[in-house]
Amino acid sequence: MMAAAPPPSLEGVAKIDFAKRFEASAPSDTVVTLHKLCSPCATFIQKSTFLQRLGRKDIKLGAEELGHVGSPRQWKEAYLAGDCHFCAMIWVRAGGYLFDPENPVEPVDVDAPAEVRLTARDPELEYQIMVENENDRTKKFWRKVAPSASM
Amino acid sequence: MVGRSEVGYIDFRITKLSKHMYADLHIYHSASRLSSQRQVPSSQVTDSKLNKETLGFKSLPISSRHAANFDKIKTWQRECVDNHEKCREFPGMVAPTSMLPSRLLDVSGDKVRLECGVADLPAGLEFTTLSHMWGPDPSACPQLEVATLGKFAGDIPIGSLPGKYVYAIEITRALGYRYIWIDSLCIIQDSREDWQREAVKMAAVYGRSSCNISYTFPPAGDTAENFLRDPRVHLPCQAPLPEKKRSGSDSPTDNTLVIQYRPGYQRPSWSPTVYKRIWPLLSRGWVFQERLLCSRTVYFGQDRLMWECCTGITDEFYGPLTTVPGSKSHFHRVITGIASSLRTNDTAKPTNTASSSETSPKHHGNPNLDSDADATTADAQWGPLVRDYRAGDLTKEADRGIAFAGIVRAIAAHTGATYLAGLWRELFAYDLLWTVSPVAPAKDDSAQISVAYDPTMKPAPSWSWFSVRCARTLSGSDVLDFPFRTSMQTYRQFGLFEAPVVTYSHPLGDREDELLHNFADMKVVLRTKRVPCTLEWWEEFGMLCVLPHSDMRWVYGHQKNRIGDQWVSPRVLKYAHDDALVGREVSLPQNAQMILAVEQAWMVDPMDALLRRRAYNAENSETWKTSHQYAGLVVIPAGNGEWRRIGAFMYFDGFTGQLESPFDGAGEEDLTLV
Repeated sequence: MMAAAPPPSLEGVAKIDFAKRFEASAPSDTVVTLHKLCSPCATFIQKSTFLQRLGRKDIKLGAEELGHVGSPRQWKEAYLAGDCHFCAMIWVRAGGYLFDPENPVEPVDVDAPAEVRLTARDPELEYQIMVENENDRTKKFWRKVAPSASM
Repeated sequence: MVGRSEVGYIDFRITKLSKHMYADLHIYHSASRLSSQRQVPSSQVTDSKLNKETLGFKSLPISSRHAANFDKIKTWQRECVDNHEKCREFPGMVAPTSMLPSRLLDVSGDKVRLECGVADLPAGLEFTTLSHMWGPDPSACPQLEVATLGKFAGDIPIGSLPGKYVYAIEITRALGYRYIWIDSLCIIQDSREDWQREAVKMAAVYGRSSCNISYTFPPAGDTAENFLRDPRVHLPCQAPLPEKKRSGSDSPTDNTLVIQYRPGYQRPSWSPTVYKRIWPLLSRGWVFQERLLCSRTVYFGQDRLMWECCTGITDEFYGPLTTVPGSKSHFHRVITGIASSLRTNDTAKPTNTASSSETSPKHHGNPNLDSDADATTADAQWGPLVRDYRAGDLTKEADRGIAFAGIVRAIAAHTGATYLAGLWRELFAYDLLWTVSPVAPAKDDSAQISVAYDPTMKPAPSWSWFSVRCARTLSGSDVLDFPFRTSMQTYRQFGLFEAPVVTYSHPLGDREDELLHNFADMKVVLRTKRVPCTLEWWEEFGMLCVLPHSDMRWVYGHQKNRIGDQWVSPRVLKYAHDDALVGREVSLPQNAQMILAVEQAWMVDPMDALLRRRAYNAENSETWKTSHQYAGLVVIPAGNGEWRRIGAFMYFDGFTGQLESPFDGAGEEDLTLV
């Protein structure tokens, strides 16, 4: 029986070989521009209803939107060219490197637009809900274990 | 609803990604939630805010060694020099002005040469210092020798210097300084006499340094790779949204998204203890004082520059970080705190003979100590400081004393306190209560325990923590700690007895510098109480226990309390043997005695809703809840009527309200500890 493959690392930067990182291939005196976006990333942000609404209108907690932002090949090219800040984050931090056209860990068409899921989150609200649910569960537990005590 | 929430964000995830891969991006709407620690105290910065410092960059070099970063260092230096009063005053606290290094490197112009006439340079001399590791092969480090002194005074070819030296020189020039001190080039390495003379000036050299430049990696790691980073994967990306007027905001510039790889406030944690694993420099024993004694340090050699001064720590990307124990700002508090908790009128000097300067035991509190909360807190930093230092690595274990001498010289200079082989005379009864926790059990058979040993080292007296050699395995080392000291210190205003130092002696008593690091044959006479005891293995827990008068009742106590269905022992006598590696195969010491260092008692009125503590009063002992604790040493005869420490004990009784102790009836006597 084959051993299960180890789960992917949570630290994207640590997982990518140094030789495959942008800073290893660029001249050491390179200065990168921050907040610069490539065309697919800029388009994605402009077209996303969710992102347009963020900060202007309420979005229901847990609501989702699917979108497409570039392709794994475009992410890699923009990352290694030092062009796009968002592509660099997708490649390194959001696990884009797992779809490396040279050696994909996850099977995917590396030239097709990549689907991404946007989910509305609110840690405080989620914690509050969790605590409320937990309390309900705790109440039920005590009612079952010690009916007289919970009366 | 998330949209207008202060902490709401959009989670970005590649749908094809494995469910178990938590690699998401977090997209915030920017402006209203931005925070800068420069404006908001760190205690008020919550995770719901975004770090404004991380959004201030338009472009950044991919190497922390890039020339553009000199401007960053200059900005930090200027800010500190102009605005940080604590940092400006610090050199005066730690470094006597009359002490200067004998040599400095003159880096003016394009040349590097050794300046041997430092004493003749104009007053107000400013210089930087380099803190670095020599590495496993010290000969690979360029060194000043007697034979090369003349040559180095003329010119040192920059091409012959390693990268870390060159970069330190470049930083020195960029900051506008002419001189830098580098140990291997400013101390004659083949002259023991020169080395000893310069080594004791370390506090002055680093204390007076305008900026200490710390190279965090060993020479083997001196590659360009260590300096490289991609700022895009560390720093948030700010992306503009179409120009639509948002409700609640009139400014179109507010309409941007902030994409970051971690939710909430972006701020890495930093502590010298944790960073030892990342920056090998911090694990070096000598570097401990180099780092703490200078008012400013720039750390380089890794992917980001960091700045530390007495006011705080700043990261090149993330801005100010939270200060932690072991940082410069905390050391500053140690010095100022000890100063405020000590009375400095004790002018007793060591004697070559056992002449005595009479001191009475202190009852009902120590007049040398005040109960000021800040002083107590700062004084309590001494224990962690010692613990962290002892955990540091030294090439020569014999340097253990001298590599700490700069720290204690600084504290002594500022407080007037007397240093006795790792303890302070003014806090001696408390400082004696150090313990050693054994090295963590090795899971791997190959992880053998090694004990630091240097045949050239003269043993320190048994009452000094310097006497216990550090035991290490691959997974860790034993820990010098102060749990008994901390417990006793907390209630020191309720003291019943505190053993004072009557006198102390040192064979080199007339050489004050030697007292800071040469502890061999040092003796202390303590006025204390003594009772016989025996040591026994506690089979149930596999640990050693000490029995006063060979009677187990002092360990468990006379009576037991009932809590629910359980009978619990209301008292406990803890014992920590100094030789943490002792096993049952070793015969236990005979003729052991317990000596009392500190005894305290206090009361709480059960009717007081705030449970405020009061000094012990026998009249109220029936109605008020009384707590009683005492601590001291276990010693064995060392010949000539002298005693050698083998462990420490502490007893606490918070239940029975009885104030009896095995020392009741024992008279005070002067005992010589060696």
